[in-house]
Amino acid sequence: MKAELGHSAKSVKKLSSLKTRLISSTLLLTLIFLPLVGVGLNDAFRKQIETAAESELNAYVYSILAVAEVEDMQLQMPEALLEDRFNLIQSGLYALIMFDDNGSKRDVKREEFDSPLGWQSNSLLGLDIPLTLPRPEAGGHSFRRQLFDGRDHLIYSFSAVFEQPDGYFPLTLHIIKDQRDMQRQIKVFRQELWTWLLLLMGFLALVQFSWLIWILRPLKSFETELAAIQGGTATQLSGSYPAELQSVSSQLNQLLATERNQRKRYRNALSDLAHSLKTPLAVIQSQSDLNSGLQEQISTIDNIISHQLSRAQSAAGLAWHLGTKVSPVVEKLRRSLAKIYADNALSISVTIDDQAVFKGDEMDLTELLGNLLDNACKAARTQILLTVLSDDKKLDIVVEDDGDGITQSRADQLMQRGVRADSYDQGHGVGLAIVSDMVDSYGGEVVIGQSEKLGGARFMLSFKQS
Amino acid sequence: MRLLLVEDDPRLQINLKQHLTQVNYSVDTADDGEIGLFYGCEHDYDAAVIDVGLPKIDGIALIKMLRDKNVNFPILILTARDSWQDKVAGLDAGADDYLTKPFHPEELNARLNALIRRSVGKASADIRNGPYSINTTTLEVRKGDHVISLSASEYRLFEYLMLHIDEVKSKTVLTEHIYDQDFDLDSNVIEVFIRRLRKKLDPENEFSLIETLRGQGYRLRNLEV
Repeated sequence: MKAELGHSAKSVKKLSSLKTRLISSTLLLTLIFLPLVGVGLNDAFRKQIETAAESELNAYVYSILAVAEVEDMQLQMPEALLEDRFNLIQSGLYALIMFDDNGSKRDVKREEFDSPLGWQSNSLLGLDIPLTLPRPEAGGHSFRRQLFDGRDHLIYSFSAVFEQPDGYFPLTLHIIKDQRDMQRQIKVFRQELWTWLLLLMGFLALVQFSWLIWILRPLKSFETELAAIQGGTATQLSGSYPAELQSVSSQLNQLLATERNQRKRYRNALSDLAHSLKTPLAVIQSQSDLNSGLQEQISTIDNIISHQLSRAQSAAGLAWHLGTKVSPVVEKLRRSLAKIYADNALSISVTIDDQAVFKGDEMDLTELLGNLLDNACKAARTQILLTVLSDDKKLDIVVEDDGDGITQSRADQLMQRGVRADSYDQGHGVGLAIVSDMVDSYGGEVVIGQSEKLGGARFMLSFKQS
Repeated sequence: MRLLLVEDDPRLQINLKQHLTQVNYSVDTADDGEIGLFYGCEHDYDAAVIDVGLPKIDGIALIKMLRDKNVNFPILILTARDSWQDKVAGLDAGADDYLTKPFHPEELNARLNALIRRSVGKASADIRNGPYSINTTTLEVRKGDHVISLSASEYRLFEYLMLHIDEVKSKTVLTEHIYDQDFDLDSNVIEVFIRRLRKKLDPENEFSLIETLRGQGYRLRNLEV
């Protein structure tokens, strides 16, 4: 059972709260997924632009080859081309034809060409012709990016072979296009894209934040109500919840009610048992001719019954601990003790944190405080001090009196574990044995000492609150 | 002193009645809560002993009902349930003290004594009035150093008057507080006991200890002033 609990505690820690999970998934969506979409779109757009550029340059190749003629192994080109940008100096769109000198079907000798450069468009005037240009296979083409004139350009190269009576006339037509336009387009697109994505991220974050609040609101109120039950200010969950939580809430209410009723029935049964056992004892003890040996036996039986019943009634072993506010219990006990010890002129001073909550059953707290205060009333001359201190981690209950105090050996004897019930004597004995057992079953601690303020005994009970 | 004992266990009831009668109480007994409520409302008791576990109306409810009907005599609860929650419930309902079963009958006697004394504002078991004193625990009556021997009925009457010094008490009231319900209230026995008390306590009528107020009743004179 312990191992199981340990495992589940670890899992809870690992998975953290639902809120953390939802926030992480939201952050994942807005901070990682959306930027990835942005990068993807940007890349797709760039590729699209490049494909469009390739098609455009390909079209220029055909339009130029359509007007190119080879006569007597001489290339004839028109003065001006149809596309104006080829005619305009340094317009960003250039064409040049290089005579080729190799290739499987190219048997034209290199010396037959004056220069590898066969022709260039007017737009290339004043620019140095790139030194390295691609040379695709005859009939093939290449498309690539290349630095030219200090800037990125796209180069579409197409190799063609003109068949002449004298042989083959191979050439490569290069269309070079400045990338500036394309880059500007991409830049504009990127700016637009990221602006909208950022806006979308903001909007999504806002929507998801509101969504989180909306989704988590029932959980939050569920948590608050549970805390109220554990704090002892409520006995059941009263809010209405979404269907998923409603069933948990009603099951929990039912569980709490069943547990409460069962405990009540159980305690009533124990009370009836006590009544049926102790009344005959009272009958025996009320007989006038009772000898002392029998008296002693009755007293022993009575102590055993009291002790065992109080152990059986304790709710310390329950898995679910409802909280009990300490101050109302103290107030009730103070009223009762004032009646019981009306003749003794005792003053019970109480210093209590009003919000102090005992993580356990009200009956058990009443039993603990009742026994401690009753003992103090019996031992005290005039004064009793009750101090209740609490914080998130622990609850301390201190009872001090101005009586004769308690010796260390007696204190040790009282706190000894496993002392037989019938070995308890009256006074400090039975009450403290019950206190000691009960504190132990709640995982608390009892410290017996001497009161610095009043000089008598000092009993301190400490309970962990978590 | 007249007591109401509400206890459903017949043997315990008989034993307690016997013991309490021995220590000079006149005791009315009730077997259940309903009879207890009827007696409690009907008679002016000096104290009541009520068991918590009763048939018909349980002890705690009975105490609440009695207090709601402005019945003010002190109540001691007998309980087999010795948890503090039960004790608090009884005391909060209006009881003045509790005794957990089983108990020594002497303990019951001492508690009742203390409760009755407290209810008339006396702190000590020794009650003094001039040279006269009674001890409500030992049931001893003294005039100066001399112990005066009184019969049970005479003691009850004198104790009641000593607890109510300077108060006029009618014959009916005295009868009610000294005898149980079976006693014939029309009898002149109170007059007889008063005469005997005067004879035993103040034969020379030196202090005019018990005054007769015609048509009203009797008054024990306060000799302390």
